[in-house]
This record gives sequence, C-alpha cells and structure tokens, in this order.
Amino acid sequence: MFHFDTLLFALSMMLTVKGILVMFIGTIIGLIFGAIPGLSGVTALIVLIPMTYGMDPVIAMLLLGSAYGAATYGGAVPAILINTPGEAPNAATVLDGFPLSQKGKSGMALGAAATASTMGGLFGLLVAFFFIPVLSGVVLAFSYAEFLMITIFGLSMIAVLTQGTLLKGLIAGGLGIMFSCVGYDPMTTELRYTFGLEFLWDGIQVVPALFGLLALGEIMDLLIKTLPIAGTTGKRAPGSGVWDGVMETLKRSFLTLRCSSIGFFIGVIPGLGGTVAGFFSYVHAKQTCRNSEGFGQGDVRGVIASEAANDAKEGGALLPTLGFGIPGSAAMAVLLGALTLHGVEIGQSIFIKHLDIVYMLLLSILGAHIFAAGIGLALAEKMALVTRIRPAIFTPILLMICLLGSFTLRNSMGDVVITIIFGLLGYEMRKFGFSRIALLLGLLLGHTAEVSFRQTLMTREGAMSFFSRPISLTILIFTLVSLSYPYISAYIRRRRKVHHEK
Amino acid sequence: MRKSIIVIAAILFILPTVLTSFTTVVLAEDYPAKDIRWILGGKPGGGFDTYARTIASAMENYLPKGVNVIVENKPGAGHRIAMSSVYHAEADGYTMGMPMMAGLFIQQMYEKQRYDMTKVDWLGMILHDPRVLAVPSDSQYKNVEDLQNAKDLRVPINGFASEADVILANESINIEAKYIAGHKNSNEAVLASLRGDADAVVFTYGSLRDYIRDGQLRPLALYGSDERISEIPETPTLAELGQPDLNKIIGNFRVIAGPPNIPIERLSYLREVIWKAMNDPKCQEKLEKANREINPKDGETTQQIMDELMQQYLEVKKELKPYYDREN
Repeated sequence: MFHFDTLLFALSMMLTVKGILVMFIGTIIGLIFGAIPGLSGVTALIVLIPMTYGMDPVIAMLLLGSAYGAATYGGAVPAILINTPGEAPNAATVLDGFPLSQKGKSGMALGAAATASTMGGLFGLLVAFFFIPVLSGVVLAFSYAEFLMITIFGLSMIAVLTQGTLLKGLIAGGLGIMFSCVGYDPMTTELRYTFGLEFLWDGIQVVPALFGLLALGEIMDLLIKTLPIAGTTGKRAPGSGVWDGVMETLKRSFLTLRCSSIGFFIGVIPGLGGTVAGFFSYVHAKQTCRNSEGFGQGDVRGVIASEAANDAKEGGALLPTLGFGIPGSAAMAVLLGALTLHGVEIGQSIFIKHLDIVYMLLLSILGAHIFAAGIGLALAEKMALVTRIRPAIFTPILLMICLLGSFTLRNSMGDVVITIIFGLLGYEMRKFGFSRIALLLGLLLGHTAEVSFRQTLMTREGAMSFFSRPISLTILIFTLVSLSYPYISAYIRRRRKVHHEK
Repeated sequence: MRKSIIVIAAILFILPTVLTSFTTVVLAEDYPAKDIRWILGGKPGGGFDTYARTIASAMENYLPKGVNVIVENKPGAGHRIAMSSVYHAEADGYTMGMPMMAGLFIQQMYEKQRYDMTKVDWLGMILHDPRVLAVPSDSQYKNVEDLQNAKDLRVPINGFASEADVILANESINIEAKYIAGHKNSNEAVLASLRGDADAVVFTYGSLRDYIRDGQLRPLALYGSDERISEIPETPTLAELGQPDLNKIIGNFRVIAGPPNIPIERLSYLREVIWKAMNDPKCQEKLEKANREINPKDGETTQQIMDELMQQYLEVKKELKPYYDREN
C-alpha cells in the first residue's frame, strides 16, 4: 500500500514554484474563511471548486487541500480573541483561549493554537498514511449501539466540566437535550415544538446557538463593563508572547499526542464531527493533567487539547472518505464532490489507480498546516491587538460579523433570531453560574443520541446489542467508571486515612 | 485634437446611456431584466447542488447579458422549507426551484403542507433516476428470490415519508423487511449495510453507482426503469419481476419547478432557456465529469409526466398509507 516513489513524485510536484504558489494562495484563502465566523473550510472549498475546473487534478487537489487544511487553524483565531469560534469545531478552544486573552495572554494562546493544530494535523495525516490497510475494520466496528454509547459518554462529560456546580450543569445539559428535540422527528418527519414556525422545522442549528451563547453574551458583557477584552492590564503579561505559546506546546508533546489520537479516532467514525473531538479531548486533558483547577480560567493546556484534536480529526476523516466514499465530515463530503468532478473514482480502487492524488491531498493538507502556522505565528502579535480595542468601537463590528455569520449559514433570518435568543439566554446563564458548555453538549449530542437509540432498537438484536457488542459495552463501562471514579478515589482515601489513624 | 477628444468622450458617455435606456424600454415589456433565483433544498456540494449550479451557469449563456442565475441553498425539513419558499414566491419568472418530487407529494397526500405540487408550473426534468435494490457483495443473498424467502430482513432508509415508494415496491414483489429510518443520507445507510446492521439497501442508481462499480454492493433489482441499465445488464427490472405498473412512480425525479401561474410568455421563455441549458454540450460534459447523469425533458413533457405521476400516486394512496404512517 505504501509506495515511496509515488510519494516522492507528489512531493516533487508540490515543491515546484507553481506548486508552492498554489499552496500559498490556498492557505491564505483557507485562513481567511476559517477566521470569519459563519464562513468555514467548507465554504472555502465550495467557492474554490469552480475555479479548479480547468486545472490539472493534482494541482487542483493542492489548492483545495491547502485551503481546507488552513481553515481549521483560522477558526481558532476568533475563538481565542473574541470568544467566537470561527468554525464549530473550534468551540472547545474558546473555553481556555478566551480567558487567556482576558489575562492579556492572547499572543501565547495563538502561538499554542498554531503549534498544537500543526502537530495535531501532522499526527493525524501521518497516522492516516499508515492506517489505510486496516481502515475498513475500524470504520465497520462502529454501529448504532456504539454511537449511542459515545454520545452518552460525551454527555457524561458535563459532570467533569461543571465540577462543583453539578446540579446546575445537569439542568443546562438537560435544557440542551430538550432544544435538540425541536424540529421534525428524524424517524417519522412529524414536527415537534416548532410552533408553526418554518425555520424551526430542521431544529435549532448548533452554529447559531454557539454564536449566541458564546459570542453575543460576551459582547453584552464587554459593553456593560466598558473595558477592552484584555482588561486594564494594557501591557503584555510576562511570558505571554507567541514563542512562549509555541514552547508551552512543545513542552507538552505527550498531551498533544494523546489529544491528537482522540481526535484521529473520532474523525475515523463518520458522523461524530470535529466539535465532539474538541470537547472530548478537552475533557480528557482536564481529567488527566495535574493541577487542573485552572482549566476554564485560562490554562494553555485547554487550548492545546482542543486544537490538536480538531486538526488531527481531519486525518482520520480522510480514511472513510477515500476508502468507502463515505465522508467523515462536511468538508470531506464537498472534497469528495471535487474529486469525482476531476474524474477520480472514489472507493478502494483510489489507492491503486490514483495514489498520486491521494498523496497530493495528504501532502497539501500537511503543507498548509505548516504554512498556516508560519503565517499565524508571524501575525499573532498584530492580531492580538484586537483585545486592546475599546468595546464601544469594537463590539458593533463584532455583533455584525456574528449575526451575518448565522444568517449566511442557511440564508435564514430565523437563525439570526436564534442567535439573539441564545445570546440573551447565555448572558443570563453566565450571570447565574449555569454552564453554557453543558447546554451546548446537550444540543450537540442530543440528536445523535436519540437517533442511534431508536435505530438500535430497530436492529435484529434490539436493545441487547448495547451489552452484547464488545465496543459498546466497553464504552459503557468506561463511562460508568469515569463517572464514579471521583467517589471511589475519595472513598479509598478516606479508608486509608481511617486505617492510618487506627 | 482637444476637441475631438471631447467629442469622442461625449459619444462614449452618451452612447451607452442612450443604448441602455433603449434596452430598458424593450426589456420593460420583455423578460428577464434581473437575476433569477434558484432555491434548493439540498446542501452545498450535494447532488441537487451540483446539478443546479452546472445548469445555472449554462443558462446564463442563453439569457441576456447581465442576467444571472443565483443558486440559493435553503436546506431543511426534507426540502419542504425550500419548496414552500418557491411556492409562495411571486410568479414573475424570477424564482425557480428543484423539488424532491416524490417525497414532497407523498407528504402532501396525507397532511396539509404549505405547498401544493399539483399547482406548480413545471419547467423541465433533468433525469428520472431509477432506484436499485442492492446487497453487500459478501451477502448470502444472491438474487431477489433469496430475499423473498429470507426472514427478518433489515433495510436502512432515510425516512418513511421520503421512501414510501421503496417500501411499496419491495412489498409488491414480496420482499418483507423491517426498515431502519433516521439515516442522514444514502452513504450512511450503505455503511450500515456494509457493517452488517442491515441486509439490503434501495437507493437511486446515481447514488449507488460508485459502490456497485467498486464491487462493494451487488445490484439485485431495478425499480423505476422500463429497460435494464447497460452498466448493470444482469439486473432485472420491476416489470420483469411482475410489477410493470409501479415503474412509473418509483425513483428520484430530478425536476425543475416554479411557483404556480407564471405568465405564459415568461413560462415558455424560461422553459426554453432551461431546455437549451440542459442540452448544452459543455454543461453535459461537466455533469458527466461530476459523475451525474442527465436525460433532459422539456417543460411541457415534464408537466405531463408529473401530472401522470401524481395521478398514479393518488391511485395507490390507500396502499401507501400504512408505509407512510409506519414507524417500526
């Protein structure tokens, strides 16, 4: 499966003047599309595809791959600077990235995000190179029952994210799940909770809700406090430069590696998506790192975890896309269309007939990561200036970008209304200490949980398959253990203490 | 010298003004004078989107200069959102749509919708894409007979409303199965069958073609085509299996429609432009490259086919009802 000469051929194509130029253009376009909330790597691909009609397929892949690879890093920039994820998968980056900006450490956060996403992306693609032969086994091992168990595991993370305020966290999570039920029943197309409003037929979309909860709430808060994001600190906090961020990430290579692996495996399973990858890996970091009390208040490890995972995930998502023609993510679905447009047949045969294009795609995404990181690092200090602008000047622009972003998603005014409603909701939730992330997790996972539960019941084995399928059972046990672990360890500690006192 | 420059400048300035005022006078009675919106229920990058964008750019060659066809994606609720905004748009010939015909009409038969497919003006048909019944290539079922004798079959579908015709076709040739709904698209459903959660899939030939070519799926029957398909010559049609009547109503009708009561001159103009665009060799070449088939029918013919189709659906309304209502 691994043809070194083909790889060299693709590499030599990429390293021509034309190749590098194309890649550079692709990277810039990807960065811009990623950084503007509402536009995404998917939009970048859709805009670029018509331009590739006349191109050589290999060069076309270079352009598309680099635009796509750069977009994921682009999305981290607004997440860190203005609490608005540029793309949904960057949602978990907000959790610690924005608090870092508030402390005046946005340079460091941007540096860490650039490094982590490059490392994550590289890891994901390198593994993808070698993973191709065993790919089918992994993709086929995940059935409805496993999907349900993964979503339940995801929902159990609410407990980790809301330590101390578990009850409020559960309320917020439950609210999120209730919101996920709005729209037509995924099985029978009956309408639920739509109040006769057409734009609710397809449910509450995650992205407008995300913009409302995270960005709009922040805008209101900024206006009320009338202080720039970075507060009154004015000067840069010590140890907060871009290079400090890079070094922080390199020092934590093992964490980056772990989070990249999580991202990769979530990418391989079609249907879970990058947002889930970011959150899973964030929670993993919070659970396994020492001194994790600072998570959520500006711990650079949170940024590293989320960014490494959501970039590594794309490497994983490539596998089912290329191997089965089953897109692992929305961007992959568009990329798939572009490949067929250039006469490349998708399926197992792609690895025999069009290996050069496969390698080109992988290489261009790799190259784009490095390019994007370079550009990102060079501009980070300048971009960080945003956090020092007075809110009166800054917030109207932000508000416009945010509302426009939710409008462009489906050309629907309804989504703008959703953003505003969730903005108010988010502001109040924050004031009263309810976790907005718990609500988001509920909204994000509720739908998949419902569909996969009902689908499992329709299979031959029915509900038994939750327990009879080994992977499903393992995830279930894992969830239970991770939920009860704090209590068990506390109990053991107490026992030991009692023992000692005796 | 200076004078002549002024004169030339004056001519250059006046000429377009005169010309444009002239053309606006002509166009005021004529149509089209502004951009045409094409509202889609499909997401960017999908099948509906690829067809619409390719045909839209070909249409621009046959429209007056400056008139563009703007494709607008309004996905959601199984094309109902897009259809209702096309239906309620002004019938001035500046709005068109690409409805998912069968699903939308079936829903309208049983529940009141915000559109009425019997009233829309049909503008053309891109393709009648038949459906294919297929099994994973390592399946124990080798032909239709095996499936007829099989017990406790599972078939993954997207939704009961959008695929009621599939269930009807299966039952008409005595294939009894339970249907697992809730898959987002045909790819997810195919994956479910490949990993063994389901035994067979029924989707349009267009969406299963790659899997069949790649040897991952084995086609067993063809629903909704009068003749066998040359690429899969061994696959029998529904007529050969003893159900010739159902052929006409099964499959994915890729049709173009506008709101009801478009003024007749504009309607025939728009139909003409779409017809030319669909037959444009460059447009066909682009679609072929994207692995999308095209078999165009003009507006009048489409109107007839659709009227007939809806008539036949109404005839099987009672038979179809249980499949539409069924959840488990």
